[in-house]
Amino acid sequence: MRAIFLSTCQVLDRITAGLCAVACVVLAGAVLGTVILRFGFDTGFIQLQNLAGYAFAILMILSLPYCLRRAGHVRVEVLSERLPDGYLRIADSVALVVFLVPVFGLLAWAWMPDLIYSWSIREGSIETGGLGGVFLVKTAVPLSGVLMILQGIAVLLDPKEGAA
Amino acid sequence: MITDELFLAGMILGLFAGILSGIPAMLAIAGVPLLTAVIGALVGAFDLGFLNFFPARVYGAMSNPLLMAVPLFVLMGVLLERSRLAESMLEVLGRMLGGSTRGMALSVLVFSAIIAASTGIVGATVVMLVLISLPAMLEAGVPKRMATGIICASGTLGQIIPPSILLVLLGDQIGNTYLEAQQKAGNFAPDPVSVGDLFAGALLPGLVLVGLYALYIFVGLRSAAKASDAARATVVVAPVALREVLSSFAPPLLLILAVLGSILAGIATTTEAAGLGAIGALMLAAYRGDLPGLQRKLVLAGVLAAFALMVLRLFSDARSEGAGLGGLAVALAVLLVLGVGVAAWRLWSARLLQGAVGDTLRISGMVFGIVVAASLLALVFRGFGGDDIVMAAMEGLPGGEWGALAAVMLVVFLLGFVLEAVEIIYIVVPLLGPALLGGDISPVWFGVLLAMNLQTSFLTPPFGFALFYFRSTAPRHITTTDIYVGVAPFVVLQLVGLGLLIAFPALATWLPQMVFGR
Repeated sequence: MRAIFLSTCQVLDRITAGLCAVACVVLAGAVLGTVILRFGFDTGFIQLQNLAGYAFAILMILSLPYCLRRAGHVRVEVLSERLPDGYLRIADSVALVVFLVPVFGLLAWAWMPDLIYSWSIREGSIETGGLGGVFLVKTAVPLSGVLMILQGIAVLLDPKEGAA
Repeated sequence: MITDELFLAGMILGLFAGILSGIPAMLAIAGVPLLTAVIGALVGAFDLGFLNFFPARVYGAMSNPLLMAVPLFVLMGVLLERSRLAESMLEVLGRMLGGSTRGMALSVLVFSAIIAASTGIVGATVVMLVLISLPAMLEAGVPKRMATGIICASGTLGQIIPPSILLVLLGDQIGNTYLEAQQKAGNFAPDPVSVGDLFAGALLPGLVLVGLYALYIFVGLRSAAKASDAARATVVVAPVALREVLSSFAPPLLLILAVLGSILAGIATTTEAAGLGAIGALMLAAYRGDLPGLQRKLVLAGVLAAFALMVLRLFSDARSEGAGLGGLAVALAVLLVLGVGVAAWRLWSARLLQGAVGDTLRISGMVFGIVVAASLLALVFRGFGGDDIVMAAMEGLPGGEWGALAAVMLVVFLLGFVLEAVEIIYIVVPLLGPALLGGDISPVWFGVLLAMNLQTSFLTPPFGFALFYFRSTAPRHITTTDIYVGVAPFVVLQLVGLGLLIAFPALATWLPQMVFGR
């Protein structure tokens, strides 16, 4: 059971990393495109700007589980570094149950009504002539919430993975 | 009402306990308020309906065009760091100066200011400076306490010298808070505050700090300069070609100037400038790798095309839409895309790009984790009526607006000991800012003051962040006492800088007015 869960989380992390990396490249590329068009030709495409916005939204929300998996979120270790070794693991377990699961559960759960509505109208960009597919970007919010919970558990079950 | 205050006090205490417990700070910042809200709801002091807005606020941050600049600036910094540009700058410096103590210390200061401005991340800058400039300074005879102070202080300069990520985040928060506070106070058409305003506003105060540091180094090293004649004799002064100096110093300076200049000249938004910076850093990193001749020329042509496009944009108002210029623009665009493509491909096959993107995602995740968490904190704080309580408390302070300002500055300074800048900005500005920004205080001046205050806090013993980073990388023969004593004069200089900024608000407000005309 444990092994299956951990390897699933590893695969999920690879997918997260891939999506984030693509989003990062698309963001840089779309901004470069916008700059060239505006500087060189005094024009712009709403779609291109939308694309940059979508890429950023995906990058921002999925970078959270990416960072969690790599133990990248800031910790203040002024006190904890003086406590015995086992302490941090216990603190992390408590934080997982009391903080991480409720917060990101809330993020995923409370977003559902908006998301269902967004899917039902296949929501697109607000701007006229903009890109469609906002409902897909919005789907990343609960996705990130669920990933945070899964990766939080995975890192705790297997601390070595988190450091990698 | 009194139960609200009890819950808020409990939440703040819990927040500190949670953050200090050593768990990821974002979990404490989001989790403690959520827990408080649930307990509050059980006794009927909180309406859980408030919590339904949390995802919408997170989505608001995801669609905020200003925050788009953050990963791009991070990418620019990471690429520059990985291109080993800093090492080559210092190596050239070391040979140019050939062991002059004072010259070495001063040029490390200048070089650190450039590096700090271009990377903008305190931890990374301090660690890098310790590794490459500490040995060089000690060898040139700079006393170790002075060297320690220089590195810690100039490592934090990146927070205030634009383009700085901290200023982008401050701009986002102050911009929103100022607009809301002014409208609440009855001014329905306040001049909006942009990141550009803050960049322009922070430039002079940042340079004033560099000037103060330089003055101190110049005076403080007078005696050391004579004593180190022996050290000087051991260092061979090698001639340095002008070409070498240019090739190591010109690129980062040009990059900073291009990013900053395009924002200040009003030709690019912050995000566009950040994108240009990231693309520029990409080409720079590739150019400095070992490229075959043709590819090298292509990358160089890409860089030149980028500058040409900026010039084109600068004069685009006056230019006629002739076919000739249109053709030129097409050619430049093709060259730029080609240069970027070659650079990206080279860095990809050297596995440098993958690492840089990975770092960028991790650092972005760290920043956005706090942004997401703080949005829940602010929501719960308002749900308990915290904004009204703070407003009432601020009005009760002696000294009116100035008393409130002093209180906020003190809170920020103390918070700087335990929290990182991003956390403080996203906690303090929305919670305490409205009480201040509804008045006549200039938001730009307030923002720059806040940034400089934070930067001072990072430098102040015993909890300053910069000192921790320094300690973690510095050799053992530099004791913790050395660090504290070495940094102390720079903390005093920071306070002088803060005093100057308070006495002459024009330091921060003059340049934005000149540039943006408001």
